[in-house]
Amino acid sequence: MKKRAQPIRFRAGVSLIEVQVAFVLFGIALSGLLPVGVMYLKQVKKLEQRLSEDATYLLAPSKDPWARKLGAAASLVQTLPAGESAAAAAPTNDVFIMSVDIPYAGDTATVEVTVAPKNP
Amino acid sequence: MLTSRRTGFTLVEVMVVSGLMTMLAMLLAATWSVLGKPLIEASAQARVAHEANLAVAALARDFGGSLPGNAGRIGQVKHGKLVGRMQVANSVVRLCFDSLGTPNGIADWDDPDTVISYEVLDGNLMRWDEQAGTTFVVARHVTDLEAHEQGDGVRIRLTFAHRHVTRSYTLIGLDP
Repeated sequence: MKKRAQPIRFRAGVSLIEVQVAFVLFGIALSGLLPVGVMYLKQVKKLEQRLSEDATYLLAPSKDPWARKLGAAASLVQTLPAGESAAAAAPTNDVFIMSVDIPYAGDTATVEVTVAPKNP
Repeated sequence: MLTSRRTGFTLVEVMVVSGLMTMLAMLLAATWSVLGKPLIEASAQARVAHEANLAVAALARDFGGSLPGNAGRIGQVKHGKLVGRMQVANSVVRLCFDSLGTPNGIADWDDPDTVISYEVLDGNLMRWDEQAGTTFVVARHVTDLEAHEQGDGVRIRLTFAHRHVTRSYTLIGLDP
């Protein structure tokens, strides 16, 4: 039995409806991207507001010498806090830090010190 | 016998395609101007803001007034205390921290004190520990560091530039 040859159909391009569907899908993808972009712009604005070009910032070290010793960074402020007490009174003891344990999490630090009278 | 061969496009087909291409181009241009350009600019702004925050954090740590040793923050208050500051050519900030072993309360600017320098090299803000010889990049995209004496501290102006975004920030590092 002879098999009949199938006619070969060549597709030379895309139909208008296919292009329209592609456009609609493109539009949907863009509309999904828009909120992400807007959110990103808002985050950048917030990040920029942390430091302003117009302001002059003070890097104010802690007045407490022990806070400085234990690693308190200088505060980034625009004006010094009013009424901040002056340096602590002259110490009467010699304090020596033997070890410091400052965990990454939590608010508690452990400091081992030795204390000796300054002028026995 | 007549044969029909199609060798090109009709005028109507070409016009339809041109119209569609124009529409697509307009759509892309509108999307680019509304979303693309601001996002690229925001990316540069975010980069600059991030680098500025890094620089400020590093300076805040050193202007905190005390430097830890290799063994940590052990010893007395006077060990590793910030005892001296100077500006070199208004472009380098040098901080002198007292000795961690035998502090004398004076800035010797040499061993056994520790001297930390901040300066801009190749667009990077560098922090150099002169005694240990260690250097690391604190922040990138820094074009200028100006340091001027100001009473009880130093006025530092840092300028950052990345793509078309340029920002300058002014800090005053107060002496402890």
